[in-house]
Amino acid sequence: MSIAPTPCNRASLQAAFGRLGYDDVPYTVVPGVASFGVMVDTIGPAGIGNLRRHILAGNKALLICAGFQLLYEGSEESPLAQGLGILPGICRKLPTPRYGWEKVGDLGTFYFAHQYGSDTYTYQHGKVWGCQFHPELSGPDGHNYLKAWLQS
Amino acid sequence: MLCTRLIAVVLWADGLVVQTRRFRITNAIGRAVPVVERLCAWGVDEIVLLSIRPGHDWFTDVAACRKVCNLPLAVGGNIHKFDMARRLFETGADMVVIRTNTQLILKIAERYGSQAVIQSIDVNVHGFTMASGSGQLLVNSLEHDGGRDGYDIAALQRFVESSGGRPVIGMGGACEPEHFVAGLRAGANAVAAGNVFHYKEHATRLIKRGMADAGYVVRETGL
Repeated sequence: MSIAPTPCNRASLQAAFGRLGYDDVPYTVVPGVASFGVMVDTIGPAGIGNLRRHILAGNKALLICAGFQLLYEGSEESPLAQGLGILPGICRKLPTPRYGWEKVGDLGTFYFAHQYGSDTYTYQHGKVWGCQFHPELSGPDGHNYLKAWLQS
Repeated sequence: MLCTRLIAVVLWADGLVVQTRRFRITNAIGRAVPVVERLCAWGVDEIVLLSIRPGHDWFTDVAACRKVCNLPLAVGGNIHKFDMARRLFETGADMVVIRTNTQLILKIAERYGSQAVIQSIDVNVHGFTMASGSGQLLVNSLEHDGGRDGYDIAALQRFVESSGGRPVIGMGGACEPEHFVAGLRAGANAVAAGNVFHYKEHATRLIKRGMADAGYVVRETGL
């Protein structure tokens, strides 16, 4: 599985990995840009099961934006849809939608576009990385983040 | 702390990037890919690619721009059908820009999320409705386009008030750093411009410095 079938931003990811020298998206990437429920429905129950096993086995994976939120138990955005439950809690609606760039620790400055989320922006457990921001759209810092994940 | 966004609008007319005044083409700049490449390197925060005159190589150019664009890319220009938006997302758009068409906006938002939809409006349009699926509102002005006199501040304020809390992007007429600052003081969440990036040396750096001097947090970039 190279990329989980969510409806959007496949081209942005392919372009970002293209700039890193890959013809296509390597390893498992769950991109965002969908509502939580649409994402869960699109990946499907079997896909969610596979993804869960893949992650728990410590295989390389990158979960971006709504994909990062999938690590939680669920989201207020789509109360009926179930997340992976690898992280505890539910993603909540933000007081105001967040569109823009923000500095994240020592990692760099990254682009965020979301209306739901948690208090945390990143997840890193061995080769399994998750980020609320969009590294594929985050200029040189995003490029370096993806490169670091590829080398993890 | 969220950085305040400076957005570059690239106007595309039948294969060429152009400058406009009152929405009329005044000057051709060249092909889209090198323009987008330069804007990314200069450190703008987002790119909006707008087709103002159709051409057969539109989708080819969007795809080529996507390859070099390492920033959020919004694409617009006479998107009146869901299928056209879908094709643009598949080609490389992160967001689509749609003129007020509440049904189409809702349909796109249901599929791609409202962060993927920018509703655009001209300040002269009467009977404005904020579409429920749109994530942001791009406020443009025919009178101010290409005028180098700054945004239509009164109109911008009006739309900020009626945007229901959604981020508003100011567009049309901004040239000097103080124009961008005025847009932000009027309540815009982000500021956009087109022409200025093509004719003013170090435009990005100068504008961002102006924004920072006025107290806004901006994304630092290398160039």
